[in-house]
Amino acid sequence: MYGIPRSHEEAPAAVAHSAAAEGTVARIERLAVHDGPGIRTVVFLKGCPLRCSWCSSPETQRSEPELLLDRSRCLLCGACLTACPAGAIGRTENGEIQTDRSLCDGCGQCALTCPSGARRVVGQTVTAAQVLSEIEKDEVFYYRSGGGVTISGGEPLEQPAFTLDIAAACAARGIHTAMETSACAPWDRLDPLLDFLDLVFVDVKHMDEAAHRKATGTGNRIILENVRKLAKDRRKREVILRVPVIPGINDTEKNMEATADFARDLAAVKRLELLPYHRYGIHRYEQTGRSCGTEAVMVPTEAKLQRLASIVRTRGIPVQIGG
Amino acid sequence: MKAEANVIEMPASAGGFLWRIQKAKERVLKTRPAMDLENAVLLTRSFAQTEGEPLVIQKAKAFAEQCRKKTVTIWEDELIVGCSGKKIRGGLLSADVCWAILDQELDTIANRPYDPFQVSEEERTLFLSEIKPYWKGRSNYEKFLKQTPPEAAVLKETGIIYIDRKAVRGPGELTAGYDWVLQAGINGIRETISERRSRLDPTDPEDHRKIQYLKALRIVADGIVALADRYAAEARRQAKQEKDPRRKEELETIAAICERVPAQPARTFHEALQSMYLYHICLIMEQNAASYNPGRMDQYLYPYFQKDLDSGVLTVERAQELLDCLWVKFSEPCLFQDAKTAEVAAGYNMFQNACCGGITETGEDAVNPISYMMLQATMDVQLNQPSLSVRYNPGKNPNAFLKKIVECISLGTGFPAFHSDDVGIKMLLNKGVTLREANNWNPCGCVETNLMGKSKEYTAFADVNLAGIVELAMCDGVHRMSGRRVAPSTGTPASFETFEAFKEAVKAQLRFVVEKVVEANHVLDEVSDERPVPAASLTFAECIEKGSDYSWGGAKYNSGNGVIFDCVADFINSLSAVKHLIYETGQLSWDHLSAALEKDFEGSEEVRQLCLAAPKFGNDDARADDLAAEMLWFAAEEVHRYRSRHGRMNCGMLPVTAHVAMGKTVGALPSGRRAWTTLTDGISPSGGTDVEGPTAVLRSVSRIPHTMYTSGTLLNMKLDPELFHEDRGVANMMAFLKALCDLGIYHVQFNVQSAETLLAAQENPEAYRHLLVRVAGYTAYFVELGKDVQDEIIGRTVQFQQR
Repeated sequence: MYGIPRSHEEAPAAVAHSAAAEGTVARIERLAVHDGPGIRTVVFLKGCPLRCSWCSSPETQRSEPELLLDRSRCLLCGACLTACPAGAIGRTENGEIQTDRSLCDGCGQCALTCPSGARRVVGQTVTAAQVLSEIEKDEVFYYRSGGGVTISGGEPLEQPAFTLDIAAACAARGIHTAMETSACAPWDRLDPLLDFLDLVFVDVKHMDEAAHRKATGTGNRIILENVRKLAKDRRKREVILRVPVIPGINDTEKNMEATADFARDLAAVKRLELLPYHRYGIHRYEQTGRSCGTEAVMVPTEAKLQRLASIVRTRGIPVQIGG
Repeated sequence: MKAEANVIEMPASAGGFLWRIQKAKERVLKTRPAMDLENAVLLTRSFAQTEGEPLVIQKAKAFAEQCRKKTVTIWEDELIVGCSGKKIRGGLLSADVCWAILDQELDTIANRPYDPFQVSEEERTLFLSEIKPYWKGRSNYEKFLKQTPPEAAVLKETGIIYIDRKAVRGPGELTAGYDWVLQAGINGIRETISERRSRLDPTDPEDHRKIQYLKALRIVADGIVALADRYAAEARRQAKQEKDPRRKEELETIAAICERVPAQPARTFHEALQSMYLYHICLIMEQNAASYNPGRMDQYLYPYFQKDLDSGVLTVERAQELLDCLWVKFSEPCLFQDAKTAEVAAGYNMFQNACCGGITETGEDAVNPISYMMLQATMDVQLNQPSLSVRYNPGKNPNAFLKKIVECISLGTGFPAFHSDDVGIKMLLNKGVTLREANNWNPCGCVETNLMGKSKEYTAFADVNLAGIVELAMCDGVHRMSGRRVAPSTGTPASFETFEAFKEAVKAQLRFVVEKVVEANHVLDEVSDERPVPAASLTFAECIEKGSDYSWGGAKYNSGNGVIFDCVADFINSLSAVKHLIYETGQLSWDHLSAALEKDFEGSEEVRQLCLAAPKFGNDDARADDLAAEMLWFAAEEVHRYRSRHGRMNCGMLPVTAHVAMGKTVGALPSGRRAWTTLTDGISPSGGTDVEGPTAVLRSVSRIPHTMYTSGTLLNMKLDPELFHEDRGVANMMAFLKALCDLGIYHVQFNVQSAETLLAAQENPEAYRHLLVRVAGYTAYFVELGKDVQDEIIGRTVQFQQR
């Protein structure tokens, strides 16, 4: 709920907090309705330790600013050619503009001169206070809907001081604050945040260590360990586990059973959410000059989702399909 | 009028009566609009016979003649009867007001692009042989055209202003005293007239005039009762011939009801509905116009409903059926107006604004079962009339009412128009109305403000094209398209050393245009003295007390007419682009920009892209929104400086479709909009420019001083159906609307995103850059997605529409 009263001991410095930490934000989305209760503003931070092949926002993976290129908007005017200090942009014989990403450091000079918005830079370095001023814009909507702020990514724990500053400042304003995380970080990054968070979403992508490593580039031991700690934490924050359902990668009944068994032992887990794979982020791969690992993967069927959901439900854990 | 128990058990909308509604709907939908000149001929013949009598008596007698002689029809299986003309979707011509507009279009009206009307050979002959010869040179419209000040006429010709709307048909825009008709009956009102007459002295010159006027009111009152008697007789006649016992009984009931009301006070819910509708058609018959508003129907109908329910003569389902029948009736009349006005306000729309919700006179929750049933009627009937509005008061109205509103919105018909009650009340206070009366306000026409039986104002007299005003400021007072000098010289761009200097030029042009509109307004007020409306005035109590017609200022509250500012976002975005590109970042020079605009960006696409990328209204971006706040305060105060015979001039922002017509006369703009294309409606952001989502739109729109625009401010929004998905979607929509009230925004109307929109976006991505699609957990700009993914979303939307 909006304005959950926190005791003074819990957040001693919050009111006077300067929110001075700097961080890199990929984008801020308003009127988000699927990442926590009510109408929310979601702050997507840049940088993630995982490399999930199905990632729907690959532009948030690297921590540095990077160039997004939408060729359909390009006027071929050539303003970017002279703007690029790294000499990464050239024109081919048939007049096309080519960008050598190995030379590009994401400085954004080309985007500043691009008249059509074909070139954009994802990743802006800002202070937590600047993020707050964006967040405050929709306060009236949070208040009316029981909504608030969700810090997401990328991975918020990759920028712990920045995330802490944002969360603390939100808490000081009585704004309901959630974080969406892979929990793939040392516990001492998560721990201080729990003073200020009302709700934590943790992605559990696979229960099998080897399979997790294969799909995301990283093992799951630290993730599961963090979830257990989170569930036992004295501050009793609400926890929701999220399982992306990616056909051919983690959608077996066996994995769902293991996930549900894991969740059943953790009383703080409020529910489990199955997030069906979708293809709405595929265009981002081309725009960031990456190749998409799940181009050929189709979305899971409704029947499949229902079957997986029932596995969770029979273990007495509330489950919902979609965020 | 507050109900004891707030939420009632509603019948399933698949109620047993929907066949009747369906049948009536088909009757409306299958009929092509046609001119209906019977009334005009009756009026003309009556005027010819009463020459020499006072104008208002002539008018009253002509009206009564229509009541006694017009064709009276009862359509198959209908329960609420009455038609303002002879035809079900007839275009009525107010010959005394504006015969000439049909004359100009006699050969083209059947095929004109906006709102065509068929004309039969017989009627054509009647028009040319009887109507035209009698009225030539005598109509209000001809007088208004002749007397329009030349500078205003030039501004009109060049599309900077539009001022004919109130002269090409009746002014409408009133909410008659339906409650008084229901409670007192026409007989009761006749007694009030007699009582008033008894206090007048025929030897006093002032009183003498009043006595004449009261005589006219008596004549129209008699006419109304005579018309009801004729419907009763027709029902009896049909009943006698009817074989089906069910219908026979229905017809006998109709006959009994029309024998009683509106002459006597209504006793039952059915009588109340019939009484109000019979009086309602009389208003349209007296003067063809849009915006005769039924007003707060839940308030004046509720007592009859509850009484019938308590005594067991009515069920909720039957009440809903009767209300639905009335709802279809509101879609029968078709607005006839000239081709130009039809382009500015297209769709035959009569703008009969019915309202529910809000608070009572004394500030209590006014929601009652009829409030819900009105929303249900719109959901059952799904026609474009009545224009259903809600007054929503977040502190006082129950959540269940808001939930019902959201259910209705989610059907995607655009209804109801949602109004923040508090802002409406403040608008009335800003017109000098007492708080108790302001609490009783009702929306009028589109989004204007009215007081039932008490207020007079032509709420949308003139349209001012704000985009055209920016253009004048950039072209030193010369109209770009025609090359004509239409306004004073305010300096060439080269002379604007600072942005402030340019802004002053814009203000100077605006000041000039408003001044000319005000001059034209005074002409309209004078001319309007010659079109009294005794049938409408009959239920304005002060008209009887003062012995003065509504159109002469007889109502309790009179205001100056409304000046409507159109193309708001184009105006703000143009100022914002000039400020940003020329004076702040220096990305463009005036020479560069002017040259590109002159050639409609031909050969300078990069200039257009820079213009498009400049800060835009609707993104919660102070760089644009600060200008909106400043300039729209300025515009409102500029209008408020002037007085008319009827009070302070007023303003609003509701274009209907004027922004489309005006676009054809405005060249390329610094906003990045191309020449001669459509401009932006109401106070909405320009299509494709609001990329920060709906909450940002509301925040920008909240910078407009709504309460200064007492003729209302109109916001249209398109929503992704996904937002309504599931219970939580409904809850979020409810929160969104409450937040809108918190922000002090007056009105919003929603269209739910259709598959057609998405297909259009696929074709023309640039115009739809703002289009957000939502999938659980993910939001994307539609135009950025690949074709296959787009197709998938289109498929999902089609599924929603078929639900």
